[in-house]
Amino acid sequence: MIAHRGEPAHDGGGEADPDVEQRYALAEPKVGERAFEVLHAALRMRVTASARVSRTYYDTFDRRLAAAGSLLVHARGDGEPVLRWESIDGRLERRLPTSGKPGLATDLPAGPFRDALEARIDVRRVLPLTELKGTARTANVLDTRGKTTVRVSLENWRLAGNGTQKKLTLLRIAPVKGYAREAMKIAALLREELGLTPMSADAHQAMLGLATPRKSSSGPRLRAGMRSDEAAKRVYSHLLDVIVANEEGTRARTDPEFLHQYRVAIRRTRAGLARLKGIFPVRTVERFKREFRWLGSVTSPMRDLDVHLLELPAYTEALPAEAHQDLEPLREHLEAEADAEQKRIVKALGSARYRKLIADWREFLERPPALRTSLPDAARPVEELARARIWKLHKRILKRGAAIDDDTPAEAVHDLRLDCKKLRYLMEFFRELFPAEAMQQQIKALKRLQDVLGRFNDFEVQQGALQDAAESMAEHDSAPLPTIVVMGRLIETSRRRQDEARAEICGRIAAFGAPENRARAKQLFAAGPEVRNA
Amino acid sequence: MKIIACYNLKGGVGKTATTVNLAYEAARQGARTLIWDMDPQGAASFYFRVKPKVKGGFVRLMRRKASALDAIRGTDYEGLDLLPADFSARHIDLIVDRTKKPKRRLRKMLRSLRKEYDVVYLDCAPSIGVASEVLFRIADALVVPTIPTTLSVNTLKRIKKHLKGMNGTAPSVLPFFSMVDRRKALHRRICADKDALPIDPLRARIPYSSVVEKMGTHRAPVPVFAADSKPARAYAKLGREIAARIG
Repeated sequence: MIAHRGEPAHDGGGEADPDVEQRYALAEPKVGERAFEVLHAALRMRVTASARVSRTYYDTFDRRLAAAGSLLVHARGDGEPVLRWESIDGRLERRLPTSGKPGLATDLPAGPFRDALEARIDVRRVLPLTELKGTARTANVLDTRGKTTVRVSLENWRLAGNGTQKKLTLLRIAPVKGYAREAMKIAALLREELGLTPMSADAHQAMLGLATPRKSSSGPRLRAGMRSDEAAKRVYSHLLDVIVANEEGTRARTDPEFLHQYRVAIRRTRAGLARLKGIFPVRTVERFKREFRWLGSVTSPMRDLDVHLLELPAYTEALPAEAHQDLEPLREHLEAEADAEQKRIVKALGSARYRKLIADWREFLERPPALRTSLPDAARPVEELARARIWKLHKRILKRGAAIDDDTPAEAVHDLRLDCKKLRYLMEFFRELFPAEAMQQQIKALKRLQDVLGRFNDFEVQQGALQDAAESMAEHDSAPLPTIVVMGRLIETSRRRQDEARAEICGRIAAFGAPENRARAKQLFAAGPEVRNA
Repeated sequence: MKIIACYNLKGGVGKTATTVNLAYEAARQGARTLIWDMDPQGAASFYFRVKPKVKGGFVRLMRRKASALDAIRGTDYEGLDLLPADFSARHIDLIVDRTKKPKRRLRKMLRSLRKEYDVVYLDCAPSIGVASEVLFRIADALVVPTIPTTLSVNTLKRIKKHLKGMNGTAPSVLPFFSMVDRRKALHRRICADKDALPIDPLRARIPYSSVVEKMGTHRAPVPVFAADSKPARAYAKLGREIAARIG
């Protein structure tokens, strides 16, 4: 999973950590030249000539390195080509001279760099995320012995992406270990002479197009006693922020996680609209429900394909080595379909219908609730509404769960899965209103049940998808026989694993209905005379 | 983290040049490397243009008063750091002798560096005393530069005899021929004689060369100013052999 980081720290300003590299985003190259002049006049420096250089930033598809606070960059053009492993805030952790493009950890020469990388990314491949090309000039700041104490570099980059080219000018001030004081002097000089302030690590990431998908910024800030319509608007606004924040990434498809977060926020919005009746006018709710359903359905096939593509390495691993290449046609097929789906998404997100949906929804959410309302639940205290809706669903799940045994048909299991999903969304929707720890445990208990129900369903979907792919490939004559045979074996494996999941379900239902869980749920959600604090 | 002590009882055998070039090569190949300059003369510190001074002196490091990390300086080469020499290290035997449980203390100190470094090279002072004894016990390998002369061979015999008493805890001793002068018959003879040394030497030999001497004027490791020279290649080969031996 991708680690969640909070709001980007305010760009620039703030006290700088003296031990790490300071980065300055400059308005134009001329400012950098001026900075070089200022430093040259005040310090003893050895300056190198400007060189043509390039930097490629790498990470795994699921951003393991970013989640661990690391950047992996292949630097070429100045000196020997080097793979640099830096912390996000700009400290060199490791380096390895290598001219080849990085891929799997095991492609690197044996040694500490490879071991450390393998510990982080396991068997995953690192992929190029951003490529910078341009020129760089470096200067070593020397002390009286002629020793380098600080490295200064001025970089003019072209960043390609989305058919356009961005130009960036970056100034980096990197202290050699043990010479933080010298670097601080330089930072002070740049501030006083040129008014320059370093940027935050997050801003640096964003500038290079390395920003990670966002789950949420901060909570919607609910309080007990708040009117239900106002509270709901806050939650919806918060979800809309997430939708908008992941829009660009979804469009560019730099990482499947953008679309995933985008869709989760839509799904939650829809769940709220469907479950929380009586707080907004029916016609409004119906309209937005319809529009968000449309958005969900436009993006759904792409998500399925993403999941499929993400699972391909696991499929491959399950097969004997000699059959690995037989899956290549399947990958090509999936990728061709994904390209087509992506075009649909880009078109939908650029459409007037989409823009109107987002604008109207925002406008509705920002309108303050009417003081007087005839809607039954609009002015009801939100914790009351939340408890009532959650408790009702919780009881229904216990009842439905109790009716399931090892022979119950799959439809009943699917109904239970859908109910669990709704309950999960509701609990997360109103999470802030309840004591944090008890709520976390309650969600955890539900999640355990959901995991097995989800697996049961995923394998079914997987079999269907493989079946469809096989049929479609056969129709277009694009699949050699061994590929079809291998896919048949995958379907078999998937069926077996689905059966295994099915066998676990009853035990998990029983665990969810265990007395301690029931007691906690009752304490949290059942309506009672006592007033709970938020 | 591997600890490699570069040591000889005899001075002037190319010990510091060996430490500096081996460590430089290790760092260049991606190992996070630290040189601890334990020689009060501070030759390693001199080569890297670092002031041979540790705040509070060697005593402060040994007495748990300061973290070694604070005293460490980055060299001009990324991935290679230096814990500078301090003149007070000339009393190292006295200091170690007065420290309670010195082996444990040194181990602890080195352990605090474990997260930061893959390999630590100790540039030891040429003496045999309490301090070197403690170092022998914590090092994974003892690299011994040996000039192919009768006197050096005798010194190596003494080191071997000394380590014999340590039984299980002794580091692997890795001697190699240093400052080999092909013009000298004695050098040629000893190098050719398989049984000349009491311990089998590593195969790499560092030639006697003015390039190595120029380290003092360039104040840099050999590969920095003479990458393709014979000594640069010999040091690289030596580094690979040591790495293979300590795993």
